Amino acid sequence: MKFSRIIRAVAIAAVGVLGTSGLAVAPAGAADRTLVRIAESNVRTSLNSSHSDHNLVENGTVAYLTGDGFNYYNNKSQLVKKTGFGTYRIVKQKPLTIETKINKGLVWSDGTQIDAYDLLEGWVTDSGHFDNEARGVYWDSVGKGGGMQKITKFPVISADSLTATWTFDEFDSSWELFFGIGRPVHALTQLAYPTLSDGQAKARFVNAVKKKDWTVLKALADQWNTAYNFIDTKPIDATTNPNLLITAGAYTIKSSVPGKSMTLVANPLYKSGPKPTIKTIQLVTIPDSTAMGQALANGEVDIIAPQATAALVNSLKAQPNTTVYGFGAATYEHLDVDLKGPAWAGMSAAKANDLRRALLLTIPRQEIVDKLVKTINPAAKVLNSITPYFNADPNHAKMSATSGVKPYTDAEATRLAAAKALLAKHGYSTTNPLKLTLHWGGPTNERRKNTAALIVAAAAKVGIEVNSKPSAVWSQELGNNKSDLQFFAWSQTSTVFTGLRTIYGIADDGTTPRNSNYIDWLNPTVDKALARHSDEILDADGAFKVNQTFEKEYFKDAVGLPLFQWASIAAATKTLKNVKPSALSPQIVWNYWEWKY
Amino acid sequence: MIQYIIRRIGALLLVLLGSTFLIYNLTAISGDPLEDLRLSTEPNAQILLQQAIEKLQLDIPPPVRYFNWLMGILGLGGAGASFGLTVEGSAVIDIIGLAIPITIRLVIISTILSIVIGISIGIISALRQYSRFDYSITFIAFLFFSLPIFWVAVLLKQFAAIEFNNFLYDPVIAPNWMFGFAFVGAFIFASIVGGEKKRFFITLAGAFALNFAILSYISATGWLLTPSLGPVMISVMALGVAFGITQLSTGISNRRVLIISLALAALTPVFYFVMQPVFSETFEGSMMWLLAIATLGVGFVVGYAFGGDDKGPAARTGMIVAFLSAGLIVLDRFMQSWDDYYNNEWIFGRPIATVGDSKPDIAGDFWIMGVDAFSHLLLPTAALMLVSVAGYVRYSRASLLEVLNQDYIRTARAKGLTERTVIMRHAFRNSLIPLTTIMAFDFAGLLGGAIITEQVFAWRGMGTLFNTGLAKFDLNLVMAVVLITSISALVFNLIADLVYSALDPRIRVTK
Repeated sequence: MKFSRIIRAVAIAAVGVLGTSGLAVAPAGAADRTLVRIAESNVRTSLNSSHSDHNLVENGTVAYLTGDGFNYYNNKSQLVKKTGFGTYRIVKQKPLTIETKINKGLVWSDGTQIDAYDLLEGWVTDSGHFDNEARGVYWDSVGKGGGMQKITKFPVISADSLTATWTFDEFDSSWELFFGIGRPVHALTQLAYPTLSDGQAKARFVNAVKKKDWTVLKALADQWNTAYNFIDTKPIDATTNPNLLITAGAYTIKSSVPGKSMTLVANPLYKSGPKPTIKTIQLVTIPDSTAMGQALANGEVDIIAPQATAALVNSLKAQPNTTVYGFGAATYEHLDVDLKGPAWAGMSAAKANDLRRALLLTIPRQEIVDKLVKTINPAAKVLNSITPYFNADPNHAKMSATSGVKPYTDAEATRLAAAKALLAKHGYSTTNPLKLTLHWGGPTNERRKNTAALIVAAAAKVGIEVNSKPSAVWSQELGNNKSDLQFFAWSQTSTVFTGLRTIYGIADDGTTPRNSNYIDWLNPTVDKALARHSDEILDADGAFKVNQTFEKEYFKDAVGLPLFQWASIAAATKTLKNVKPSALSPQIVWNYWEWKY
Repeated sequence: MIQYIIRRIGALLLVLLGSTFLIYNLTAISGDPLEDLRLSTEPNAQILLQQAIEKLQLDIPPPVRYFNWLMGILGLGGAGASFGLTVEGSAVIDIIGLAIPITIRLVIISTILSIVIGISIGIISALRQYSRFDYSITFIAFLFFSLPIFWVAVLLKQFAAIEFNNFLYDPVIAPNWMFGFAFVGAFIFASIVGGEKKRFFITLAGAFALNFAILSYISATGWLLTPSLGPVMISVMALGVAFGITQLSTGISNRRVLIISLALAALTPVFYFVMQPVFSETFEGSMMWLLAIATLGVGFVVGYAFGGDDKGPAARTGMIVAFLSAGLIVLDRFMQSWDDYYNNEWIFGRPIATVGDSKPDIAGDFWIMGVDAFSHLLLPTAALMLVSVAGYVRYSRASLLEVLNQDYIRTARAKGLTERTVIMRHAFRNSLIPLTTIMAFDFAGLLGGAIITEQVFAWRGMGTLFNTGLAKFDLNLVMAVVLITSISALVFNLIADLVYSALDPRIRVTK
């Protein structure tokens, strides 16, 4: 009797205590914090993110926070002009002539003036005109082979050295993304020639570029290729050569521990944009997504952008001090029909088209989105534009109204009936099925595995037997025409449409597909239309019309289907305001000056 | 003996050759390093693709590339022996060089702690065979033994870090938790002490009351935010150490040694006050070694000088007592820095960390850095230990039980030796022999286990490098980790065999 009374008392006390627990109160002063710690999954490797080996998101984040430029992408994928830094305009369309003007009074973090000569770095490294195999000069840049090679003449630079006028030999529609500053040219030169003063160093660089002085260029290229690539092996501390650390942006580099972290502090000399409230940004490497989420819950980091899985999203949403931001990635999954796949061999064009259409009608896109994407982003929708205009873009609805995607958006019964009719026309049925091979990548990826299973199951209902063949090295086999179908994702790094021609265009010889046209779709109408993206400066409407022509042909020829836009997430401490994740680089850090507690 | 070692090393090299060849090729065909570039719609993707193929030698089939790599490792490529470059072009040796100390730190600490704690529990468990304690420990050991470490890590982070840090905002222990902790602690203690039912319940009640009092004190004074032992607690604990160590070392009945131990313990509060100004904010960490040696010296001299007929055991006991008592003073000093650490801007009231091996940029004195190292080591060490302690408990229990059934133990008892002497001198030492083999295996196992632990706790040791290497198809990096860990595992096995033969004269290694 006595004993049970004690138990009862304890139980009541326990319930009372449990009821009042869980009131975690943050220490005072939280609102005055000026420190943000961002978790990243990979290590930073170099201060030169333009190097072809070091063009990583993590290096790019540092480059953006410590760098400056004419424009940047915001979270709506709009290219915003940064007039605090400078302006640019088209002087002439033919030949394409661009004038860039850097504002007066902007300085590098060592106090040296930022001027048009600093823009030369990008031209020297990317154009290829300053490489010389015989002399061993090679600038190992990721921009190699891009539009910069179309500039061959040294720009005209004004007397105050702020304005530069660049003349392109050929037209290039993506010129707006080319011009910017990276490393100060005087500091780069001083790495090779440490005894020169700032002025002498800049002069030596400019002269070497003007006269193609291969000896100097080799010394500079060697420094450019190697000197900055120490972040994963050596710390940044008082002994680091200060010439490596000169920046132009809102932050300077205070310290770095290889493989672990880098700390940036506000640059007192920065004046081309709003002064950030956050005085210190620390970038911390946490490879594991779950660990990222728990580090955020434990207040060790303030912002994370992990690989999204349904389980992680749920656990992040359950954390009391966390805000979860879902957003669409700049990556979209799509299904391709390989026009040279073995199944179509020997068929007439009309028959093959019918059968392809039948197949595409069976693809359960809504089911795929409902079952596999909505677990991460409940607002996810089927993607109906292959250009693509993503669902949030008003052009998505406009495009899908006219492109011919309509039949694929019907209810399942309607689609399957239509598919059955097309198959029956050519003698295929569930008893005599059409046999196709589906090739897909990442066999350990649950989403891909389930997508493939849903496709196979839906196709079987009408008499298409899909042989699903996953492979870890699927990407090596793209374009080898050994399968009939593939599904994978294309990812965008900018909003220019020039890349579409690489995927769907015809090579310059007029008979073979372009590099990434793995499905061997040779449609002259499409190629001609898409070429306009590179050959002309189109406004949004003009570009839409081109893409409309392309999408109409795409659905007419039944060469594939867009599936869905990837869902991404970011999460941040609840008290940190104005976190606005963005799909395009510089991703989550793009609006650092708006962050505050 | 030498012949045996040479034979073993020969076999070791063959195993290495085979395993590295397999792993190299499996890693090489496990995915497509060019996937990103193939899916790039950049106008210059083709050029970058060509560049990457050239840099990574992807035009050479993996088995041939393996021999290129092997030549590089052996220095036959003409450029000296080298682990090569990572895909980003950094020297693998530099990256590995940074990672090895991190892994070693993690593994060494958890191995030592696992051995000490595991063997202690195992011995107690064997001595109290078929008791409540024994059954509970057996159950818990099997439970932990079967837990996946990543799951243990996630739970540890949730409860020992996130929830504990939340709790620290207002560190009042709720009565139900206080009851629970006090009871579990008391139950374990009473089970270890053992004895008749009546004695058990008396011990249980006493320990419960003491635990409850301590927890109430901790809760009421906010001790967890400003922890310290203070001279009084240090004195009491030092006396406890003196009794305990003397009992294990020579037995309390040896009055001379006991008096020496108690005298050394009595000196501790004096040294506490002497050391406070020395342990200032400018204290250099390297001084700690000198102090440790000096402490051992004092213990040795006192024990030796006053040891009478038992100079050796007295000196030994004196050294251990002096060292542990001095350790209490150091522990107290670290505790005094806890408050500063807690309020540091980089810590911001969240002292127990879930990721990383230290907080970058924290820049504090020796004491702050010590607390920082502790707060980061706590969880990963605990995760590795939970799994590995269980093994030691089981093995040392079984080993001691087997030894206790030997004839020579019966003989020792028969000739009237005290139970302490039988256990500590005859049984315990012999029971350790089979454990040497386990230790070598366990070290290799922990290196393997560290792959997951490091990843989960974001320690950039060799395990994390292995993971990143695999994800990026960075063959040179993966192979360097594989080579180093497999060599160390094989070498440890060899050493274990040799030590085994040295410890147990019945084992020969000649043929």
